[in-house]
Amino acid sequence: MKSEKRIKEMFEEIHAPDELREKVISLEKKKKPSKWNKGMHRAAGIAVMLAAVFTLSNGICYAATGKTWVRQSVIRFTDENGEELDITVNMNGEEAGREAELVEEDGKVYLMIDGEQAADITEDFADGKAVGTIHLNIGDKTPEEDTGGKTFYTITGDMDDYDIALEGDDEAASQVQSTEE
Amino acid sequence: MDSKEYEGIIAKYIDTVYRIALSSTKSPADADDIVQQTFLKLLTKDVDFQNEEHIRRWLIRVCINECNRMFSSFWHKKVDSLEMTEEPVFQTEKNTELYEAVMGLPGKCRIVVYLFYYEGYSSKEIAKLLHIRDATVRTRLTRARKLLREAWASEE
Repeated sequence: MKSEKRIKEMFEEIHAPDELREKVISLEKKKKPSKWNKGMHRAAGIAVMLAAVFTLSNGICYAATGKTWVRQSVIRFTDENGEELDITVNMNGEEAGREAELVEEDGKVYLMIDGEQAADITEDFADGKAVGTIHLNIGDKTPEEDTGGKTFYTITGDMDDYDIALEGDDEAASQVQSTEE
Repeated sequence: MDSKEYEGIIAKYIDTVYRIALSSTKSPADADDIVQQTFLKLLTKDVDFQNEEHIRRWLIRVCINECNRMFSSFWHKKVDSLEMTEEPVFQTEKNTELYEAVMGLPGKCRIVVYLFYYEGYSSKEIAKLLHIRDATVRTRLTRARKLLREAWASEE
């Protein structure tokens, strides 16, 4: 068709100006590289997932134990002979599952286990170190019925700064000279 | 997309994109902006092109979208551009007159005329590109031909 040819010829003469061509070419140099490539997106996704797992696990641990798992790290203690003491304590220095502390009352120093008076260590602790054995009642059993083992304790320091080590090994306990009166 | 590939695409298709932008906007200044926006999208979008035709259609589609975006912008509706940009210069007076006649057509007809007569797309292909019905494309082509014939007849 004549008109078709004419229209084509007309458009054939229209070209993008050279200045525009230069601008478009230079766009590539101006374009900043993307900081976020696929790898970064994946890493960010993994980080978010780990954070979610961490938060969830901490929450579950808190609901179950009243403490987050971060604070439930196991710490092993060794006695003065280098033998590992069979004890786990949390970051607060508390035996996992048992709370041990020293209480001073009327001039006497007591070893308290779970709020119960376990031993009077007033004289023994005078030199900064007390060792001994105690019998911890498990459940509601009477001393005759209770077949639970003895607990060996070592306490060092002073009333302001002390360490308590508890060991439930009968064999070790039997080797210690009891200082209980 | 590396530099060589990018410059190759510019060399092949910048005129196509410019003509579409100019046909839509009638303004060389606006066409300038649209062409830059279109190629910027090419740089920033991670499109996996299958072949040359795919690139060509993609650029045409993006250019048309950019034209539509410009028409619907508040700024464009309220502000007249004062920027002086060169109008195309033709070798013959007949082509100058034809250009003016085509630019005198309604906007929706101009783009169809270009895609049909110059790019060689069928009415069905144009319908796909513009997301309109085939019948609508044919109607616009018929109307454009009639108006151009009237324009040529009035000149004679």
